[in-house]
Amino acid sequence: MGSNINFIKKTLFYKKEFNQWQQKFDAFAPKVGDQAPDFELQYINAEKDARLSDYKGVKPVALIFGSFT
Amino acid sequence: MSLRELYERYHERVQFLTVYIREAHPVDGWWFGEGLPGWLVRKRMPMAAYDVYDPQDFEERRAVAGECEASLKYGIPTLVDGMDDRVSEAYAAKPTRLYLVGEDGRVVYAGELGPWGFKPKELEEAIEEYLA
Repeated sequence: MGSNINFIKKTLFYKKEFNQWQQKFDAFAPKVGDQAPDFELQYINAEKDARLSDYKGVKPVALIFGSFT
Repeated sequence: MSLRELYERYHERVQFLTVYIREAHPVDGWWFGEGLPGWLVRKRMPMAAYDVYDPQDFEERRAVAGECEASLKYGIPTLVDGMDDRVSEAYAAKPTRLYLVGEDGRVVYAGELGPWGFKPKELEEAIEEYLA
């Protein structure tokens, strides 16, 4: 029971913070028809980088954002 | 429609990029690993990790991203967002989100905010429509 109450308290705290983050950044996130913000990031093996713009004029790109948890 | 199925079906005509971003529910944050809620979430999302701490530097983040890629086995190459979360912020991507970007660099599909807006089926429909 104690851990459940603790979970609810943490959820209320983090959910508020989380919603604020989403509202703040979603206002500037690209919408359909907008130019997608370019980026350059490393692959996990660090052997090379990838730029979104590398695929411009080549292929459409499906972007999948997420984490392990 | 899972991401793995999407990748297998379209990867020759669409470039798939997974971007690993800041952990949504690490042990040292909004953790879903305890009590009845934790049990329920584990039942619903058995592939997710419940023992991961928020990486404190880029090498830690890269290591967790590697564990994630190995565990989920989507077959999609994983990129790692920087510790400044710049790309995650630019796409309002936390905790998870899907986009399709056309060959002209413009957004064709922008999924709703995660987690409830994470809908691979919608991405598939957008891909089908774009490629038609």
